[in-house]
Amino acid sequence: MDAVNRFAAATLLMLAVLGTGFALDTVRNPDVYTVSHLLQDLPTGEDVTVEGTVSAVEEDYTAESGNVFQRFYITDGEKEVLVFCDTGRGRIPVAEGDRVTVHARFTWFDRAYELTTTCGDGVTIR
Amino acid sequence: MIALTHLLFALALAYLLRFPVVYAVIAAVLPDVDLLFTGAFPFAHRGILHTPLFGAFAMAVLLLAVDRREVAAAYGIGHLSHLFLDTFAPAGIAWLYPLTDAAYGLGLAPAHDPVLNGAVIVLSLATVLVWRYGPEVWVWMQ
Repeated sequence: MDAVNRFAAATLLMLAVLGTGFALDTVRNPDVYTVSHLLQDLPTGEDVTVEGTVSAVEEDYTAESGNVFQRFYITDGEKEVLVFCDTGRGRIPVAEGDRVTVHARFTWFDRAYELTTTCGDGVTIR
Repeated sequence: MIALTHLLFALALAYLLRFPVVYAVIAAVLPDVDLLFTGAFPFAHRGILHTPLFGAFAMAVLLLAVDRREVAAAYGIGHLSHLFLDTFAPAGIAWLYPLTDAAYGLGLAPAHDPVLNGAVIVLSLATVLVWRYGPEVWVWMQ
């Protein structure tokens, strides 16, 4: 019985720690992120809205399927993050210095963070 | 998570499960030795030292060296507790290495998040104190 109680206590401790993690993540998730806040909170796998300024526009990436993706970085002056958007529903004419709002999924891919979305739906130049 | 968090969480688990605490604590802090690694995965931080494979290897070595199952089990508990906590971060852990290099993380909070680290430390200490001294410990602390 003692062994069962001990195992239950250990399990409860692990569940309490896990629950604390999820609770913190829920409490902290704001409606609109800055880039710095996004990279502090790291809501991986979640759909987020981020505001920032385009700091660099990279060359398009063409997948083996033929889909073309635009790539550009947005910043809040302190941190920056990559936006990787599918041009299937249209391109977005971003240029350095544009202020944008991005609705995207925040992902961890190939050991880096990025915002993944469709350019036409997910990126708005303000 | 920071070393203190790993240490106290492993201590609490080993204490509750009645395994040698010292081996669990060593196992809990050992994986972050790979902060000294400068190579590419798996010889990088959160690389091979942060895999269940390494934990199993270390347990096997301990079993051969000291022939005490509780020591190997304590090491396993400490090692797995480290991986459990590190899975909270977005960078995650390569749980299935060497089948795949992919890292799996919950993305709940960065590894050095002070609130989460503090919460785990408090929960771990509180669990040990309440188990050792009973609920009366709260009265005593007030």
